[in-house]
Amino acid sequence: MPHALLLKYPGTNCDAETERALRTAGFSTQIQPIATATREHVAKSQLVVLCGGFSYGDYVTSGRLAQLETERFLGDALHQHHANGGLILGICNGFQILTKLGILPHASLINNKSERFECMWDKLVKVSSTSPFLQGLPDEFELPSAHAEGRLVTNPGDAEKYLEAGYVALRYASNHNGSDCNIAGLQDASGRAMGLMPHPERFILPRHHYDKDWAGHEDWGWGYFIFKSAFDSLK
Amino acid sequence: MTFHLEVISRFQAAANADALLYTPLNAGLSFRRSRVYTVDISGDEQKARTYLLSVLVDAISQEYSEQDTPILNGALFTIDYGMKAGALDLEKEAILQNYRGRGDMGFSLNSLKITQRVYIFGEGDKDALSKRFAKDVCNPAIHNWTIA
Repeated sequence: MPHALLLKYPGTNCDAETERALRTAGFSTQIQPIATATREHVAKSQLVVLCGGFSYGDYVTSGRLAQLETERFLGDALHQHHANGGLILGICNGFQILTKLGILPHASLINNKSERFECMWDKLVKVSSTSPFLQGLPDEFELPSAHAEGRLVTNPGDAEKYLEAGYVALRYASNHNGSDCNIAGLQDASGRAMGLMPHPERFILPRHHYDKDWAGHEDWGWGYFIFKSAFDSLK
Repeated sequence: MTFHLEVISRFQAAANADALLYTPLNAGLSFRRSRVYTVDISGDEQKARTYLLSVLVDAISQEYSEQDTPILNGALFTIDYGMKAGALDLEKEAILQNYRGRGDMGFSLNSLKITQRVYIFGEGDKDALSKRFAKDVCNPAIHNWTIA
């Protein structure tokens, strides 16, 4: 059974529901606080997940202190895991951390254009056709978002290059937070590392949808298929 | 040596300063925010500077100044506020935790002071307005502040 490691930082608050989603998809799981995480924890996992929250209070910039502490405790273990064929998923704050760790293309997630925390459902457009996280999903689907710092910005021109080079996994159909090129999720060149701002773990069952008559899928919400696709790719 | 660093977003434009107040003034004022880090270091200054910039500045979304003068010009006034000595500054503690956990880096970080700087732009009675803004922006139970 594929094993998923969830790294937990002070301020991470989506680990329990992310673990539940991973277990529902078939993974065995372990939530590990970063201060006690070791290279062995990473080495025995097929998937490493950095989940949502406000690690270290989003001090300095969101994800910065988590990046520094990950490097302090784990060194290059995540890079090694990725180089050895492992999967890495960053959700919301986890996405912010992955961009700073250099596992995903160079980008920053800053305050939404509205300068407010925004909690809403986003319609997403699947851009990557080869991502192991997106195989089970239709070309357009919805996921819930909740963030204050979800506006993806890059050095001038980089976002367009990422689109052309296949580094963009997901785009917003409606760009509420002001992200460059409507980018909602990035992946690395291999597709085995992906980060996204919306929260798939919050849409596992049809009843999680705001429309009680939602009929997109009989048994599962769209978020389930991100975890299930990862599971299937590792089987 | 003392290392000064003021960090500000490249992307955030000046916003309506009424957002800082409990009761809007409708005086046409705008504001921007920055963070000012004052760090006392000894040892290898270049290594210290490299470490501090890597921790405190996001190269894509922020710009910075190492001068001990405000990074923006033309403000009606500025309010610099930070945590009182006895109050818990979680940002400071998080940064120091990372520094201490890294072992010998060739320099010592002897003290770190973090200040938020609010720039107020527009026209009006500086004394009256600065008192009004300081009253709503700062909390005397936990903050020290200066107005310039």
